[in-house]
Amino acid sequence: MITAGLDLGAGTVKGALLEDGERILALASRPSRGVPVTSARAVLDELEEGANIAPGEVDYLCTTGFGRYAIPERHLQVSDFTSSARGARFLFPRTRLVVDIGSQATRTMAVSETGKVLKFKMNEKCAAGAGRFVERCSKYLQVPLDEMGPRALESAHPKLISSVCAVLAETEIINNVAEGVPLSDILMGVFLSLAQRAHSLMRYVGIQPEVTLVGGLVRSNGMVKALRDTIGMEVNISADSYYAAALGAAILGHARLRKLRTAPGPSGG
Amino acid sequence: MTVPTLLQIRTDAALDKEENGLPRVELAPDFREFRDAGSVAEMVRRTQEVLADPTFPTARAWRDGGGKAVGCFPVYTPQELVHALGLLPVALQGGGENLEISRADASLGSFLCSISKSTLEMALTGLLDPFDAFVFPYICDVSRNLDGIFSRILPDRPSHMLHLPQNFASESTVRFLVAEYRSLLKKLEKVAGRSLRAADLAASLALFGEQRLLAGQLAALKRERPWDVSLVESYLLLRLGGLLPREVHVPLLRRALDELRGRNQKAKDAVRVVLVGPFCEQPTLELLQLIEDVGCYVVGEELQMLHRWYPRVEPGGDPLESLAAAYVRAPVDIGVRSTPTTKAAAILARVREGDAQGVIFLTAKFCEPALEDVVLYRRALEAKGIPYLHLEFEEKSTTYEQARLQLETFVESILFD
Repeated sequence: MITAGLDLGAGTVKGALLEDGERILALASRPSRGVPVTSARAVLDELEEGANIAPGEVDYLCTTGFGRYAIPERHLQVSDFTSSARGARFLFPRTRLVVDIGSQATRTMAVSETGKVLKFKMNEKCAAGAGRFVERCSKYLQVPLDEMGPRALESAHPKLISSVCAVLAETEIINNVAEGVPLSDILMGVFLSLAQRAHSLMRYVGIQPEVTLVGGLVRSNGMVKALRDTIGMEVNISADSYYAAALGAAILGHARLRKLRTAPGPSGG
Repeated sequence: MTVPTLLQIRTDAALDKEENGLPRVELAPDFREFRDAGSVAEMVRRTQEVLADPTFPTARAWRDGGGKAVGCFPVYTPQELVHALGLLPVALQGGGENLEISRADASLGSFLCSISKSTLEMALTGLLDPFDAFVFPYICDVSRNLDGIFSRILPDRPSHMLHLPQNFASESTVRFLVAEYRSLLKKLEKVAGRSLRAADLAASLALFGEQRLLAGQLAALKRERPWDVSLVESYLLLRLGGLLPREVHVPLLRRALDELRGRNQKAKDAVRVVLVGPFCEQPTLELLQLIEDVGCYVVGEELQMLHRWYPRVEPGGDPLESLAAAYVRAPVDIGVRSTPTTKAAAILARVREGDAQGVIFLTAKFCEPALEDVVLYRRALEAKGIPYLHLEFEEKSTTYEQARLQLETFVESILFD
């Protein structure tokens, strides 16, 4: 059985193609660019091409992310919490706490041995608590996004941001620049402020090892270090963590398809 | 992005706005629109129209017929006393989504619940003109202070703060409440221009007993066959009961129950949940519908407790004492009743009664009584491994994407092993 998972995120569409819910056939991603449906279809094409399968060979498509309802040909949609939790557990089977820092939101989930969400919490509507804040910092500090992490790691005395609002935080950062605070210290301060917000959410659901980081910011080594330093624990990451929600969607799609094939018929009206 | 849209729950009439920007509904003084409503769909549609109009069309129509109306703030007012004096008790449950808050924001802090602001806004802008008096049960500091504010800004219309007992173990509790009722009656009798007659009170007790009986039957039907009655339907049918003359609402509710009992819809693969917290300020219809749209069946809730506080008033003896005793002995355990030692058992009993798989705390922002109880309830649920979700709401909610995401996750966490 081949199942596809598409994570239609606010910043990027990520996709995963799995065989029998276990073996990764292909992974792909594209920026959403305001039209996640177009990007999602391109990602799906790329997945099929990468796995060398024909378009009709995908047995089940499960979507997730903020645009999860946007693909009419989907078989099922699941929330970001559910898919990220399953994906994190797939990548690190001993995961008990998942932290998902995406473009629009930060989410934390306590999960069971099977990856079932036991308790979850997301940040309130707040730009300072999600990846978009890092993007904004990248723009006004004029540091390319992919250089922010490495530059932050050079920090000797991180300059913490005290403001809880993105607009005020920006003002605070501009003041730091004016006062001559080294750029690396400001950048690490940005990541630490995000990590501290994530830490509050983690406390709500209960912190226990192993902790796995997923979502767009998993690609920033500055963010990973900030989170590890803030919670004082090891944080799991892998090259595929970026695709955790898409992987989780494909896994859940496989579970659902297997159930349907063993017990055909509608589950309810 | 295409997301599934909620069912059309605003009506054309609700969008037919007057010059001041508010929808306006005119009803006949004999309420024939509701006497003649032949189907649940029509009853629900007409209720939506009435709720979309913050000028209280039912109270206006009652006045057009020569009557006087009393505005009753949540959660519980002895409506029987108001009714027995020939006055129409009308539930004040906020201004809804169409009311813009401007003047009340200047007087009340931003950390107060929506219903306090919308109620004050309506008083300041003349929307409460159809009322001749107001009752504010002392359920929290906000309701207490609203009574004081109303006394100052509407000095020609009596406002009464009703003290309800919190000590249910004392032998004096019923006597205390009877004294409170007599104090309320003094003001109401002045408004009505006559004294309370025993025969009138007996008739009112019977009428409201019938209304509560039917409300209880509706709740039971919703609990036993949640696929045959949507939450929005059961909510609106009861919400109407606090707005219409009860002589009109009781037969309407009976007709509605007949139709609902005859339904035989297919059950969905949904999660059974108990809804805790919305006993005062009411969530928007969109939010209520969303809860069931994402895959929940609500098999227990605290909406419209006014009609379900106690099953019936025992006849015989002093009717005022019977009314007070019914309130005191009612097996109600919601945020405005202080029973901290029994909260854990109460939430678990409600889960059992509804055969529920989880609990959704749906609390109004800044509602202290509801939020205080959430702490106690959560401990009890965690000890038993019962999943729960906490959502907050305000009267003027416009986007539901975050709520949808959290509700979906909650449902999926129960559905997927």
